Amino acid sequence: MVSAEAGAHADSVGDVNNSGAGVPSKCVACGETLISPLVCVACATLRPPKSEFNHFARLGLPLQYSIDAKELERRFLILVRGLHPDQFSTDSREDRALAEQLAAQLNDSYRVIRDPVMRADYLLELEGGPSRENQKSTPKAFLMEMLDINEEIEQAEAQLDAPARENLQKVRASLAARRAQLIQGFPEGFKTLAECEGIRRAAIAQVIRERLNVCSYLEGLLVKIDELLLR
Amino acid sequence: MTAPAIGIDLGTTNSLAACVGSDGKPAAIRGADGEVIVPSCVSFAESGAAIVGRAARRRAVEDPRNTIFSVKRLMGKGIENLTEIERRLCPCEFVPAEGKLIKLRIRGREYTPQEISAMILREVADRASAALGETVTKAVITVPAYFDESQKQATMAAGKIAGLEVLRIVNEPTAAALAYGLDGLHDGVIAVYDLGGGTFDISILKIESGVFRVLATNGDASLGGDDFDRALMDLLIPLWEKAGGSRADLADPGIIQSLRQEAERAKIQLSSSATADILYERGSYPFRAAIAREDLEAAISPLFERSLGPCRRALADAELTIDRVDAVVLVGGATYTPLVRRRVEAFFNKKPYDALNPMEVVALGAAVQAKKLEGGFRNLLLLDVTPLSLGVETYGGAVDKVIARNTTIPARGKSEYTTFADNQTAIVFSIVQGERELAKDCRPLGQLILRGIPAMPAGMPRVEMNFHIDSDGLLTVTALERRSGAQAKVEIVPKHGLTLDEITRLVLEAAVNAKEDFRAARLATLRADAEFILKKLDAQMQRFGGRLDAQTRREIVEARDGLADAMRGESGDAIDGAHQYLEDVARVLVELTMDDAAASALRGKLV
Repeated sequence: MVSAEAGAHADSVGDVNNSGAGVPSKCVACGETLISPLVCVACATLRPPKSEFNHFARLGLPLQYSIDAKELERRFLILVRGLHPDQFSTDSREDRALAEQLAAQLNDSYRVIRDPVMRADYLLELEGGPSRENQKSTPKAFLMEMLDINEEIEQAEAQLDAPARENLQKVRASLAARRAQLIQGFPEGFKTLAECEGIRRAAIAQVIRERLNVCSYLEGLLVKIDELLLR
Repeated sequence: MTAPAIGIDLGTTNSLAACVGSDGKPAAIRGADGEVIVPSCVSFAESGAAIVGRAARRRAVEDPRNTIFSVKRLMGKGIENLTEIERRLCPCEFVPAEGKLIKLRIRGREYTPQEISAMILREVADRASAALGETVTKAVITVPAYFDESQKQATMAAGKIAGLEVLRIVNEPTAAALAYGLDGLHDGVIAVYDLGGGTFDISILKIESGVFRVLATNGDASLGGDDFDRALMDLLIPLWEKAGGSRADLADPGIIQSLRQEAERAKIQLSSSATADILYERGSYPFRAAIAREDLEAAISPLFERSLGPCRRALADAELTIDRVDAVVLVGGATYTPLVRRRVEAFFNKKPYDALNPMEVVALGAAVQAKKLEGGFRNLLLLDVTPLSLGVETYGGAVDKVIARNTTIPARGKSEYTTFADNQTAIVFSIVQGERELAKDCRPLGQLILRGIPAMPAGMPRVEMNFHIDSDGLLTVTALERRSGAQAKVEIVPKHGLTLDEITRLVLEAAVNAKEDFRAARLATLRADAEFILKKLDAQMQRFGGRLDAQTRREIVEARDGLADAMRGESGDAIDGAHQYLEDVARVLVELTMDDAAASALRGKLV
C-alpha cells in the first residue's frame, strides 16, 4: 500500500495522456470496453494501478475543460458502485485493500473534476501552464479594489448588526457574481490554449493562471463572509 | 449457523441493537424482558460486579457514586478537554492517568470510558444473542457524525474490548437515512436532524437509486436531550429551595440524581401534555408543583438555537439552499420535544417525515449496513464524508489542511514539506483535526516522526505526506522523503486513545474474567431487581393488603419472604425462580392498584 502510493504520484502531472497508450480500452478479464482504467464495471474486476492515471482518465473523460455535469455524475455513480470497498466486503483482504485505494483515487478525481476552479487549476498544470507556486500574481487594479473591499468587510465585522449584515450580503453577492463570471470564461480560455503554440500559448496560460488566482482570492473572501454571517 | 452481524446504536442515554430478518427488513431486537432499549447506564454493586441497563438506572438514586450515566460524553477525551457539565455528569472520581486517558475510579478499581462502553455493548450483544439463539460476534456500531477521530477510535476500541468484531463504524444520521431509504423514502436531497441524548448531528444526503451520498455534515458533539433535562432541573431547584432545600445539599449526588430523574420524567410528560405535575418526594424537602410547557420551552429555546448554526453550515458546505431539500427526517429521542419539531419544521419550511421510530431508526440503519458488509443489499451503497478537516501543523503553529471537511471517504490527500535547518535528519509532524487556523485550537491526533533524512541544506529535502482515510473514517499517514526514499508510516493513535496493546490486554482480561464477571453481574442484577420489587410490593401491601382474603395474603407474604431469603443466597437461579413466583402470586395486587388508579381518575373527571 505504501510502496504503491510512493512509487507513482496521483497528482503529478503529465504521467498519462488520455489519448495515449496509458489508458487501456478493454478489460483483460472479460473483454468489455472500459469506461475507466480503475475497474471493469461489467465483471467487477479491480485493476491494480501500474501507473497512476490523471483525474480525467480515471473518470474516462477526455482531457478538456468543458464537461457535462450530468454525465460526470452518472459516471461517478457507476464507477463508485463498481469499486467501493463495501462491494468487496466478503472478498479477500487484498481486494478490499485495493478497493480502498481505488475508491480514494476515484473520490479524489471526482472532487477535483466537479469543481470548476480546481478542475481549471489541475488542467492548466497538465497543459504545462504555471502552477500557483510559480505564478502568484493577480492584476494590480484588482488588488487595489480588494483593499477597499477588505476594509468594508472589516467594518462590517466590527458592527455585525442588521445593516452591517445586509451590507455583507451585498458584498457577498457582488463577489460571487464576479467569480461566476470568471469561471464562465474558462471553457473559452482552455479552448484557445489548446489551439495555440509557443509564446502565445505561454501568454494565454499566464492569463488563465492570473484569473485562477483571482478566483481563489475571491473564494477566500466568500468563505470569510460566510463565517461572519453565520456568527 | 452463526448469528448474523447486528447493528448497534450506542447512545448517550440509550442503546439498542437491530438485525435484518429473513424478510430482508431490519427490526429492533427485543430482550427477554420485552424491552428494546437498554439504558446506557452502568452501576457497580458492592462486590464490584457491573450491572448494566435498566437495573443500573434504578440504582442511580440509591448509589449515585457507583452509577455511571452518559459515558459516551467522555469517550476519546482527555481530562483537560472536559467541560464543567461533563464533570458534573459523572459523580465518581476522575483519575489523572498519565495525563492522557480519562480513568474513573469506582469501588477501588479504575476503568476507562472505553471499558464502561464495552460493558454496555456486551449487554446489548448478549441480549441479541439470546434473542437470536446464536452468539453474536460481529457488529456495526454507530457514532455521531461529528465525533472526531479520537472519539471514533475510542468507540472502535470499546467494541473490541466487548469481544466484538467491529465491521464498521457508521455515522448515526447516515444510518438513519439508510433505514429511511429502505423504507421507501424517494430519491432526492434529505436532511437528517439528529438530536440524541448528548450529541447533535445534521447531515445533508443525496439519495440516487440506492446510492446514499452524504454531501455535508455538521453538528455539536456536546448538545443533546441531557441538556434539556438540565435546563428543566434548573427550574426545579428554586422550587426545591423554597421547600427548604439548601444549595449545600446539592453537592449530594443522590439529590442531584433524583431531581434529574424528576426533570426527565416531566420533560417526557410535557411532550404530550401542556403541564407536568411535579411530585418530588425524596429526602427532607418534598414539594409539589406544576411546570407548564411554556416554561420548559423558554428554558430550552436557546439550546435549540445552537443547533441551527450547524444546519446552516451544512447547507452551505453542500452548496444547497433550504428550498432544495426534499425531505427532513427527525432522529433521536430529543426530537419528540414539540418545540424541536415545530422549529425544525419552520427552519426547513417542510413537515418532518417521521414514519420510523426516532429512537430505533439509527440501529435499523446500522443493521442494514451490517447485512451489506456480509454480502447482502448489493444495490445499496453508503458514501460518507469525513466531518472535520485534517492537516499538519507547520512552522509557526499554523495548520496546513491536507483533507478538507466533508470530503467523501475513502479519501486521500497529500502535501509537501521541507526542512528548516541545514543537515536536519528528522522531522516531527503533528497531525491535527479541526477547522481553526492555528494548530493549538485544533484537536491533536498524533505525531509522525520521519528519520533518516540524508544531510542536506535546509529546504532541499522534499518530504511528501500522504493521508488516507479508510471507509471506517480512520486515518493513516505516511511520510516519504523523495530524494532519499526515507519513509515513515503511522496509523494514528489519538493522544487520548488506547494503543492496540492496551486494547488487546483489556480484551484478554475480559475473557479471563468473563465467566466469573458474568456470574457476579447476573447475581447483582437479579438482586437489584428483587430489591426493587420487594420495595414496591411492601408499599402495595400496606395500601391494599387489607382488601385481600387471608389465604391470598398468606401466599404473598410467604412468596415475599422466599424471595428475601433467596437474595441472601448466592444462587442466581434461586433468586430468579423466587422472583417469578412472587410476581405470579402478587398479580392480584397489581390489578387492585390499577383499579384504584382508574377509579381515582374517574373521580377526578366527575369533580
